[in-house]
Amino acid sequence: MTGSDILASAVDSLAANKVRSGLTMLGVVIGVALVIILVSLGESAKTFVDDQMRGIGFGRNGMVIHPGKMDPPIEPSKLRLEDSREINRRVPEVLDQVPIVVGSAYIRAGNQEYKTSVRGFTENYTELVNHRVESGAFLSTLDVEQHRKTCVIGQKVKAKLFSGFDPIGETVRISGRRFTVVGVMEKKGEMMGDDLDDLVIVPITTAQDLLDTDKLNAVLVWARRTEDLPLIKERIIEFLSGRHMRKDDFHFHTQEEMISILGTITGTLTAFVSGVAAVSLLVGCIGIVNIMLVSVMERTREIGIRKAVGARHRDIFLQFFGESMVLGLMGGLSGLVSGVALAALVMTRTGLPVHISGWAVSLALACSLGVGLLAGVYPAMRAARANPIQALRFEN
Amino acid sequence: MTQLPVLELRQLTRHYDTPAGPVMAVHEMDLRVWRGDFVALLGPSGCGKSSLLNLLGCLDRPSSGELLIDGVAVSSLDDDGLARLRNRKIGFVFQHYHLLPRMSAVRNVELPMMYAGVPPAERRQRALEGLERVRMSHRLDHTPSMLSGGESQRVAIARALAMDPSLVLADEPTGNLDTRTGEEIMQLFEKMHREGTTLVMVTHSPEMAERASRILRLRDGRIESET
Repeated sequence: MTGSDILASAVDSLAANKVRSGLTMLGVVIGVALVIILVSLGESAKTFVDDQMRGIGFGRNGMVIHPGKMDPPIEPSKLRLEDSREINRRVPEVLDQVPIVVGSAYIRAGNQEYKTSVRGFTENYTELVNHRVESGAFLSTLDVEQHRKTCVIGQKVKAKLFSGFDPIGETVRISGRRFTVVGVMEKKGEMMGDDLDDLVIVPITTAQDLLDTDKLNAVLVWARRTEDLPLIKERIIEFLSGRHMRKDDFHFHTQEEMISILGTITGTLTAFVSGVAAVSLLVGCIGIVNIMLVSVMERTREIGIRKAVGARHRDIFLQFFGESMVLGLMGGLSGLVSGVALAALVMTRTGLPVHISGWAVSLALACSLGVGLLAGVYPAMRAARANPIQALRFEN
Repeated sequence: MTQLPVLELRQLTRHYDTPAGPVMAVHEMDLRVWRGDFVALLGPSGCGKSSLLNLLGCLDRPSSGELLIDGVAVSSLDDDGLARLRNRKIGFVFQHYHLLPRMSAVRNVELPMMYAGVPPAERRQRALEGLERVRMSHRLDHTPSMLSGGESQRVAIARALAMDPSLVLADEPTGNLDTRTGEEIMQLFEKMHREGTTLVMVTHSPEMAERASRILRLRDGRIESET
């Protein structure tokens, strides 16, 4: 009895009971698909966040000060522009900082008008963040100091308001006020759900005038050395609390934290998923054992006949064991195909990078083989041990 | 020339322990079957025919005594050895044909050769020849459910002969067939006998037994008489 004889016999008898074989495999299919989908999604999300962080150049030495005790801020911000300026002077470990004001406004050029996002930054923004000017110039120190009405526009704004001609030096109206376009930002796409092409950047001071506020929405801070971040945090807490704020009027986000929060979420998810997958594979295993036992029972006479014509224990064992292995493996492969397909579908629908976890695929396939192996041993032993005389007499 | 018997029984005994005490199914039986013999084991039900056939077919082991097939003592063999012996030396023909239901006629005939490790191409060739011999070449790809009783029994005979065994054991081979079909099968047995196959057939029908060259009458686990 060769390997191909065993395989052919297994496929034959499984094909003879297609519905039953299919249902038996289902447990394995679901378990394998689940493992692949969820592990791949987790890894894809992590890659996505990493890419986004790297994409805006907000590296590991970066940190964000947000107003309020937690996200999203409930009470109005108490962070002021002076606070951010003080950070550079008070905390020497800080490389630099960029204060941020965010709002939205109608922008108009000629007879084109639409609502876009207004960002107030200082002139050093493009030096620190990986978001550059494509043509023209970025804001200058004087623009910021003198509350000048200059602006740099994103690619979408350019496309909507200046179809086909150079916007540099042109005038636009933002909330009715005249601004001069000094530059156009490079195309950047979406980062963390934020469209970096659909915005207009103005001096931080001007933005505050425009939005009628003296507060900030956030301050980006960079450390000279990444390991100084905790120290910098302490110092900033100390000096901001000393000024006009309490400790819970602001909070920090480091990339490290964001990744670790994400890690916690995906970790919990992964643990949960592994549990579900393990239970599903176990159920699949029990299903296979059960059906194999039924199959051995039903085919008692077949076993008797095979023994009468010369099958050894080993031949009978391998026949039923082979069936169980094929069940497990076919379940694994179906799970693999459906898992990969579903994962890819979810990823394209949600805009995550399409990524299939190689180790999850190998693990899932190994598990399905293991299930087939484990589930096959006992029924196959029962089959091999059948007494040929009783087996031949068996009526069904 | 001294010839080795195909089958030799020395005080062969098989008893079963039942709550009512031991039952002697085969009792201290002595017998020699020679190459080319066509032996009929005749007797009423309960005379120990089936038990004897199971012993001769190496599906069962004796309680005591010795059974030699082609001079090999069966008691010296382990389970795998018995399986090998059944495979190479013995062909079974059953009353209920006992073909594998999902397999075509030709694959049923290939089955013993598969367990013997005959390569697939040779297997197929020999199975085709075997089916030709029993005039079943027109039903190669039919599964047993598509075959009549007589046809099934022919396929079963081809399977029994597939490994060119020393001994063919038939258990009421016509028991499930009408008279005419049964007659056809008996003619097939006579043909095999003429061609030199050693046959041992169990039957309860004296007419069928008449076709054999030796008739052994069994009663209570013993050979009562031989004609």
